[in-house]
Amino acid sequence: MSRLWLTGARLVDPEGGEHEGSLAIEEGRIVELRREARPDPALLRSSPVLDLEGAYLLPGLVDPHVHLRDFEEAGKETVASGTRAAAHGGYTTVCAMANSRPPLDGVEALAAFQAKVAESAVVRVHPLAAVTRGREGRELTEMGRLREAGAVAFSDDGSPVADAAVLRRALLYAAQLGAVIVAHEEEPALSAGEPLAAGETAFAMGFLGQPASAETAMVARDLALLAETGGRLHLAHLSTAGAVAAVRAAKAAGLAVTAEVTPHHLLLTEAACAGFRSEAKVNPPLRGQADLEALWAGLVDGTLDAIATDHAPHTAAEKARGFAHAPFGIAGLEAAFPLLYTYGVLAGRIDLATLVERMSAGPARLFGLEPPALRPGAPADLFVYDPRPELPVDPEAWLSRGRNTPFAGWRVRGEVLLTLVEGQVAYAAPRLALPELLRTGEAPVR
Amino acid sequence: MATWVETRSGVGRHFLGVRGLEREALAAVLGRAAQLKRAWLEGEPLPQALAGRTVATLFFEPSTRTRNSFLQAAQLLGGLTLTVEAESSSVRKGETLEDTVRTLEAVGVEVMVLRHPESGAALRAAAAASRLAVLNAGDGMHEHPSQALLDVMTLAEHFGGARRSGELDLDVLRGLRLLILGDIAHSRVARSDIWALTTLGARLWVSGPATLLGWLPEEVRRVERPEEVLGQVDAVMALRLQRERMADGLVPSEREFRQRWGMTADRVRLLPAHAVVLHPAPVNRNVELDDSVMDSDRSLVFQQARNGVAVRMALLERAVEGEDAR
Repeated sequence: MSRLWLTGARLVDPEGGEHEGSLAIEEGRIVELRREARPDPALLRSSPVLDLEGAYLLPGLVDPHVHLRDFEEAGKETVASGTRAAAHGGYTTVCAMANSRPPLDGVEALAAFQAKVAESAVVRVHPLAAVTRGREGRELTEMGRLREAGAVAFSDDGSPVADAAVLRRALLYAAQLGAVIVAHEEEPALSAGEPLAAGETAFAMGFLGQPASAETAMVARDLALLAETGGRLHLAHLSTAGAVAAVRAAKAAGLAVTAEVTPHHLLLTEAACAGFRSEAKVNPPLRGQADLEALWAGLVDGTLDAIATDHAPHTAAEKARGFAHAPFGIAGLEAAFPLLYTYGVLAGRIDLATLVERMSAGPARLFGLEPPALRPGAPADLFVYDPRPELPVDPEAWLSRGRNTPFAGWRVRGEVLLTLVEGQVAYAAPRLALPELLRTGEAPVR
Repeated sequence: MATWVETRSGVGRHFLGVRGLEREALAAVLGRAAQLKRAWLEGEPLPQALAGRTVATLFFEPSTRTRNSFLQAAQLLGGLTLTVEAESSSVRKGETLEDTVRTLEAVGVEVMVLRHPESGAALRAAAAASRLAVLNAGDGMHEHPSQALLDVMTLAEHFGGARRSGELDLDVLRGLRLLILGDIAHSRVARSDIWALTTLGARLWVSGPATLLGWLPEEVRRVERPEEVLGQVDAVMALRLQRERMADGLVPSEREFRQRWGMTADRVRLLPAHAVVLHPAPVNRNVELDDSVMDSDRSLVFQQARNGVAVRMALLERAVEGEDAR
């Protein structure tokens, strides 16, 4: 008998709302769901039970935008370490960007990546492929072949497709394939390599800073191209109030556009860079308070469809190269949910069900993936969150190789206790007493 | 941002910027600079605070004025000096700034005067140092703190009168009206001047091409044309126009810049009789300042240079003795 009962939890599901409940898992699927915390003991007889008293049971998180590195950058992260970090953060699915070294710009490179995934991933990993060969912004990749080989979407993320004609072609071609283009919205002539946003902090630190128009001008350009070409466009990691307004208007006009926001753009302003703190150096840069408010409003009203970590691990040595020369990026997988639960839900900015929707079903839908759901018949992709302990964000305890975060030391409420992918343990907190059935399960290979 | 920072050994003191420095801290170093200046100009023996100590200048950007001013100051206080040419040193071979600091420290350098094109470089150097003190001689567009001190000293002397005792009256800067003219956005001098002068209570206007202004703090008021305030200011600080700004297309031409924002003889005539003109130098003659202005009694450019030596003596003394040692 391989049925396992998870009992005593509060279930939160964007479809079913929030309620006390319990569910049974068998052969990797949810087979039964009850709206009572303690089902009839007769039902549980002869099944192992994991009692989750006081904890939340949530559908697995989906990150549409992570950088898993590996290959020539295995010092920063590998598929193995990155997916373990994802599981530790409550994620059961991640979408990996194509700007690895070498980039995922052909079927051979994609196959090599997928081999790494099959060998070492503990959560589901869907690769994106590059829009252009070498991510150089000139020639389109073989999108049809890449899509058949498993690319869920196409992006040159890390860099924009600067040439408008090339992006126009990409949108036309991808539309025919039914594929999504994911755009990194940055006009390079305006961002000009500046390490942070224009404003008070940039002035104080001796930089000109990136103007907001570096993002908004590119968003306007790309929405104009989308309107003309059809197809589907997803805008990565938006950071400005102007971009949110543009997406809202475009959606109202019926354009097939979606957009995402990161936890750091929701929780930090440019002031986090003060004192040359390279941990807060990220692209697009952190902006002002008004932008932050606009991002929250866009997230709550659905203008922004998803939260993406843009998990960008770097080594401590690289981040120590001085603010001007340190690479952009924050390692985000392991702190995202605790931070947003604490400073979003508990702070009254968003309700838990909406947060979960934007971090689970919302991102899954972007690329046509099956949204994790607490529903009989669905794969048991879920995680358990204990909201009671108050803990500091401690990168030293992370499973990612990247410890680069400006959130170190922030107090958060809660921790991920358990993450199951297709019913198998992808992460379990050391303090959790797992029933035999889970303990003996091998980490899934995906 | 920390400005005076204790090194790990607690012996030396870095001087990285003026932002966040309190009035008292500015007054302490400027008061000492005024004393040293008086002794120097009157031929009295100067304290040999740097006797047997080595000061290295490490300049990653061309500079004669600032470097020589620091070297002169170090030698007047009995110091040994070492000039590291970044162009011909291991830096060219890819040595990191941190390793350069540790190397200089290993060979016995106690004070490093650093100029670097990267904003924040002085802080990086200070973080890498365990014993030597770092004096920021200009880091990127961030700060040029010793320049701000010498500018403050020059204004305070001019408007307060250098006192026989060598004291400097910084109260004369309260309410002083100053126009900063030209390239504010790219100027570390402008940043340091703005912070030091607003701390001391001066009222600041800026004017220049919009392409060279950028974000400005609230305390600073922007005027589109200098004519709007020239009749009511006590001093004008003209900033050097870098020729690469023209290459970058930020200014159409030097001619146009002079016509709209240069301190021409015609504009100087709009100033009150008591008003003076400053410039961190070197001056692009007949661009920021007309010849006739540069060479007039209103120009304090050469007093600035002399005060540079006095300020840097005070900073060097402080770097080796620490604030409490005096």
